[in-house]
Amino acid sequence: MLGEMKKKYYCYLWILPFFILFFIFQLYPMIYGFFLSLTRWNGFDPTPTIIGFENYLTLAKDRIFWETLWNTVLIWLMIVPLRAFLSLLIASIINSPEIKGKGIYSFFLLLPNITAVVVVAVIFRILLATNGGTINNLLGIIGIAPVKWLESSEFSKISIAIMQTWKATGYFTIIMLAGLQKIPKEIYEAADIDGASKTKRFFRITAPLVKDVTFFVVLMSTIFVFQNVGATMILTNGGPGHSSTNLILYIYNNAFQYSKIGYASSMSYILFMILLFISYFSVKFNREKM
Amino acid sequence: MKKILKAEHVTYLFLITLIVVTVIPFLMMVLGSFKQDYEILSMNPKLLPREGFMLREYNQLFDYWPFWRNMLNSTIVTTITTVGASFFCALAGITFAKYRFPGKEGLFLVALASMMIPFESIVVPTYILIRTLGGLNTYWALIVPKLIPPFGIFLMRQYAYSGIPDSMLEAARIEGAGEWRIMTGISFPIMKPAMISLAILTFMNSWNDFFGPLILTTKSKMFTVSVALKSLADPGQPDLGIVLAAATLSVIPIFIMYAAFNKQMLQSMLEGSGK
Repeated sequence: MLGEMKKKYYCYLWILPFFILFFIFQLYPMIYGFFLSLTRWNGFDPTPTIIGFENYLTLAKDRIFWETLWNTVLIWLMIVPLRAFLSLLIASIINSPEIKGKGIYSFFLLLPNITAVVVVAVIFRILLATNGGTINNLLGIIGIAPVKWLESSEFSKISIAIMQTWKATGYFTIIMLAGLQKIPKEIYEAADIDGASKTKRFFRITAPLVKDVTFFVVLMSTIFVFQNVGATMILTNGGPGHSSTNLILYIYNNAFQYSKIGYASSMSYILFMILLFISYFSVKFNREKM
Repeated sequence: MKKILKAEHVTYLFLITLIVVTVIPFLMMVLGSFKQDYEILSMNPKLLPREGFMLREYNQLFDYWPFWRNMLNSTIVTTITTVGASFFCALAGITFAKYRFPGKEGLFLVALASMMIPFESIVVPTYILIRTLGGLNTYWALIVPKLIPPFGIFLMRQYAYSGIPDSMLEAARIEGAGEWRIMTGISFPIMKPAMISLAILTFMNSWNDFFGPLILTTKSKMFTVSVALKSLADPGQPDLGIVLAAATLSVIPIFIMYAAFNKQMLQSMLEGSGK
């Protein structure tokens, strides 16, 4: 074994750069973060004070923490089911044989996705502005009074959902489209011969056959919802109150605004557990497909 | 026949609406960057800027913010990350796909598991670590942690697995070529399409990256474009024209690349999604 390792030393050399970075910038922060979560520290004192699991106990009683999780659930509900449906619907429309210029639709639909979240959030701050914002101007035409999209706790989550839907639905549509294009045309032809209607074709053939892709879209969307921090920061900064704050933003605020490094670290671990749970499924799912 | 034609019209109408909804926000951004604030948020909006296409907002942006420097920072970080990621991921990916060595399976599993540690959950310790190393406001701190993304290793490994024929490697070995020579002379050239795919993805991720640069830079001169844009938009009443001017400039590199390599980018994003 050792001889073999010596002989193949170059293999280790070639994967070494990755492992060096992994140890310094992933594994070490993981462990150090856990240590920090057991301390009270403002980040400036020379040493953190070890307080055991107190941060986690505080966390369990922190109403804002629970509110951020609940916000994420609500935003998830507004985004993910609709997105799965929309991307499948749009993809199957583009995929139908009578539609010409498929490339053009894909070209435009991907534009929001290649754009930085920060840019998208800046644009939506203007679109969703209460006075003189484009969307309220349009609603005004049909006689609807200005909606406080970003300044009321009823609408702040909806605004984030609108922005995210605009940003990522195109991307997931393209993934759906790729899934649809793998379905053999013969199946549709057979359905046409049997006289199946388009609606029936969609629900009976298309939808079941893209179950895997849909599952993927839902998983990735879920991770996106949890990781969404830049967009939230710029669109609403989590407000008004904490009505649109998600866990990452709360972690960021605790660490970098309130100087509660220890407390923020304990929340990071909870976030890690949640994301681990989700990505475990996605990796497992992907490996089965490989 | 008439009925089918009608259904088709509805479909096209739907698709055109979709494109309009997609494009209008971008149009607002570009047009807004030539407008004054009272025109951007207005109850009586006009499509085009009232005083024509004046570069006033752009001039103001450069007068009071080091935005060229931010563009340069993003360019430096993105370029080095892109080149580095393509090289190191290909190297590791090929090794995992085409070589046999003790402990390979275990090491590969570690690389796989590393994908499950999202940056968001280690920002706090990462910030402390980089600060301790004196890395705040440095280029290396923005580059090195993202230099070898594990998903890139997987992408490369998958491509190398079926893309590089074992017989070719064996033939080179029989002829007495050294392993590094085989790697650079045979394997790397075959990997070119996959490396381009990864380069495109990395370029996009790196240029658009936000959270890392946000916590690792504190001086406006060291901001990347995303962080600069956040700072410009931060105050309660930001100068919207200036913000939109910065936003417009910041998307130009990505949009140029998208226009030039549209097909390739689409393909990369599908591969990147694991489909």
